[in-house]
Amino acid sequence: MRILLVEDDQTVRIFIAKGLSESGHLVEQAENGKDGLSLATNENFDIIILDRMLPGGVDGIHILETLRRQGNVTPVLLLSALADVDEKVAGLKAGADDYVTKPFSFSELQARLEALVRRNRNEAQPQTRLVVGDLEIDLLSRGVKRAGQKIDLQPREFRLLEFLMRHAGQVVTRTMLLEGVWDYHFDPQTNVIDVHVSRLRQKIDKPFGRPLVHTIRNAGYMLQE
Amino acid sequence: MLTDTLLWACLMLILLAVGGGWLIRRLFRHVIQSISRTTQAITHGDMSRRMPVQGTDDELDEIAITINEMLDRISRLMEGVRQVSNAIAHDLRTPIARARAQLEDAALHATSEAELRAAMEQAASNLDNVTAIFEALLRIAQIESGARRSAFVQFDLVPALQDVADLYQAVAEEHGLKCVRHLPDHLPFFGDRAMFQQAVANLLDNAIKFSPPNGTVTLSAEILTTGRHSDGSSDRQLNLSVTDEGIGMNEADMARASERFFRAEQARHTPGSGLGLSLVEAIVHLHDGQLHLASNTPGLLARITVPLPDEATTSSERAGDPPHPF
Ligand SMILES: Nc1ncnc2c1ncn2[C@@H]1O[C@H](COP(=O)(O)OP(=O)(O)O)[C@@H](O)[C@H]1O
Ligand SMILES: [Mg+2]
Repeated sequence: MRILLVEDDQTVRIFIAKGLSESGHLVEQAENGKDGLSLATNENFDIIILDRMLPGGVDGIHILETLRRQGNVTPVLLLSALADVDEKVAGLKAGADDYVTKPFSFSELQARLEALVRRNRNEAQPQTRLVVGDLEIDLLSRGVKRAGQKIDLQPREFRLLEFLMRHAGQVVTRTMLLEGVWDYHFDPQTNVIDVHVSRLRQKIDKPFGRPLVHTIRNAGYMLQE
Repeated sequence: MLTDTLLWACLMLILLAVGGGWLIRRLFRHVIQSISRTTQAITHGDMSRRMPVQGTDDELDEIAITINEMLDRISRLMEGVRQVSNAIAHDLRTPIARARAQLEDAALHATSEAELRAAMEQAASNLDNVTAIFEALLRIAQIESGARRSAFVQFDLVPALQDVADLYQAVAEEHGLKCVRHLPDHLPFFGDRAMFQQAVANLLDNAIKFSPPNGTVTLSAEILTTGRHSDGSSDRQLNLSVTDEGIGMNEADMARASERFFRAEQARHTPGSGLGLSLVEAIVHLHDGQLHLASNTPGLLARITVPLPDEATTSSERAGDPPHPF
């Protein structure tokens, strides 16, 4: 992927750029809003990572609003030291597709970037059935089957599985699950997500020997064949 | 003769006026000097100084008492600031110190790359802890400032509570606890949905954390009518409670439980930073409600009450249905 990274803090910028290059992406860097805006308007990117606060008058929100006004729909992920719920809402209103607060772990950022790009591709064709290996779910009848065998899930377990299946092959972080499945936007203080995932495993993995839900150390989970 | 009397009268009048004026002046000077002595002492750092009260019940005493009350309040606020800054200094320093020690120790003594990496990961997680504490403190301050009231909306509290309960139920069961919900079908409510959910989440988190296995955690909510007026309207309040059968708290600890960073002695070995109930209280106050803690013998009963406007009355708000498991 071709990624534009606009971030004034050198340490953070190098940290992100290094990580993304290592996973095979092409990263274009800008250290102030002016350069960032001109790169964003003149070139094509698969995704833009924008620091919300930038020195020199042109901040992240300004760049974002300018792009959207020009009809540019490149997915934008905002980075911000403002953890406030209202700030997040303001960022999303201005046209951001996701919002990550500093400090963050690289795995969180990467997982969200991938989810964004994937979402952009998938939006074209609405799906009614999701399949990973011998596991399949029907989004209309809410039925779940593995190796032809029917599995009973609680509504919330179904939503958790659906979320994992929509992101199959990608790392999904605990925060993403909290927000995406429970619409909960705070630090839950305990390992709530781990408990729910372990219950889901009991139903969809344990009876079948070969696990589909994998734990990714220091990052989260991944559903994969 | 008449002029003589008149003359005397005039003289007396002048004397009285001058004397009275002088007396009042002296009195005022006395008060002002007393105020000035007290404020000077306070400016020099003696916060315990107060205005002398004569016990004569006059205007002078009234001023002295008012000033003393103001000074008492300032002292209490200053004490609060001092406690919070001490706590911040201690509670933020501890994880930072730990992270620092781990990094330095690894830099000096680690013999393998794996050891180095492990130390660095530990340090990063300690720093995450610092961030979490910061975030909680900022959120409490922001809520206390009342700024979030602009996000209030009308919503049904029941699905919001079910969502949080669903989230924590699995954790409770993992701890071997039974969960019961007493919720009506609908509870129309005006407030901040996400904030209210977080308050309930914090109470459930505590109930689970401070309960040994085999207890029951109960979440209930209902609308109570607390009084009726002659015009047919009535005072109504939301009554929401989380009860557990865990270790409970003594009276003294309950009184301090919602202070920032307060943790009872028995809580030392459970994870947490003592900001959960401070946040709950701030959120409840934002909704003009109250947080009460009481003993549940055994365990704790945490209750949130919020006064409700009269017009939100609906028919389906009674918690009459039988308890069903989470
Ligand atoms: N349900 C409960 N049972 C027993 N003690 C409790 C309960 N809830 C809170 N406490 C006490 O009050 C303290 C403060 O609670 P809280 O502010 O949530 O902090 P934390 O959960 O981080 O310890 C706890 O440390 C504990 O001592
Ligand atoms: Mg707590």
